[in-house]
Amino acid sequence: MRTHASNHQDIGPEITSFFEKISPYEIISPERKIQEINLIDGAYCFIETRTKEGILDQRIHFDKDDINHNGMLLFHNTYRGLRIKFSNAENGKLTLKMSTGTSGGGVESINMTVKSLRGIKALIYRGNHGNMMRGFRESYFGCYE
Amino acid sequence: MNKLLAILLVSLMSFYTYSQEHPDVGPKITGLFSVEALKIERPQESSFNLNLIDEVNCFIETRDGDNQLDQRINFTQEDIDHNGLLTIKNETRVIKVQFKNNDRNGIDLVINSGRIKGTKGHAELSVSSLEGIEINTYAGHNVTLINGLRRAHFICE
Repeated sequence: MRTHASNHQDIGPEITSFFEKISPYEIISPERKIQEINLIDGAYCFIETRTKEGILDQRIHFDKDDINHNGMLLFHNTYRGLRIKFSNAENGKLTLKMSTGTSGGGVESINMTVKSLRGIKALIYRGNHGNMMRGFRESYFGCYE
Repeated sequence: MNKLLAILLVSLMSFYTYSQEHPDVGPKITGLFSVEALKIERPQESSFNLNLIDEVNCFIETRDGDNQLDQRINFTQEDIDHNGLLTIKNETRVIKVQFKNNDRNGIDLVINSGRIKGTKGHAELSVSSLEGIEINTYAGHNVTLINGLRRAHFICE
């Protein structure tokens, strides 16, 4: 965990578009934290935003302390909310329901159950953050090997 | 040579065991109208060098809105075409899974499913192991709304 943390710092947003940088995603810190959740302690995970060309804009790491007592991890910026619902599944597996959207706008989601988080990377959202001038950002959930 | 035969035998036994545990079934749920079975579109030229696939048993399940199993279709690397595309379809719905090796010895998956002429579900991810993974996407309504919603589950064990 320490090695990963020193190798992989939070970065960005890095890309400045026509007017300004996109408002950064930030974790909404929970008042009450989750106690028991499978797999998370053995993994080191993050959210990334990238441009359509795959250029990294922002990376935010999170850990178990960022997940609330209902298993919800919440990120937001000025325009978008991004949420991941973690719940334990049978045989030590973990179910993730990831969704993102704007208030009053479309929502995209991906649901999966995994036996290991290591090396996983899932696309959550492919669209605009803010407006067309600021360009597309793809949002990913990922965990290191 | 003996080692090779032993590996082959164990692999065949594992596949047999998995197939016994999760045989193809369905379609099981009957609505007002019967639902045509989803079938694998057999490729003329199969894939042969995809990462991870041969280590696991994978199948597609369709389930209704209450998570009741409707149909299960097992597939292997032989069902994936030389471009890495697995296609499972009936007259109204299609499930396509694009497999691609990545540079971390893992595999990238792009899943599209839904009505042929309607809304599609989409999932995209990279994994370093397929074991124990289950990805759920929208698989469209069967023919009419009366026959109900189906979700597609890509599962490997």
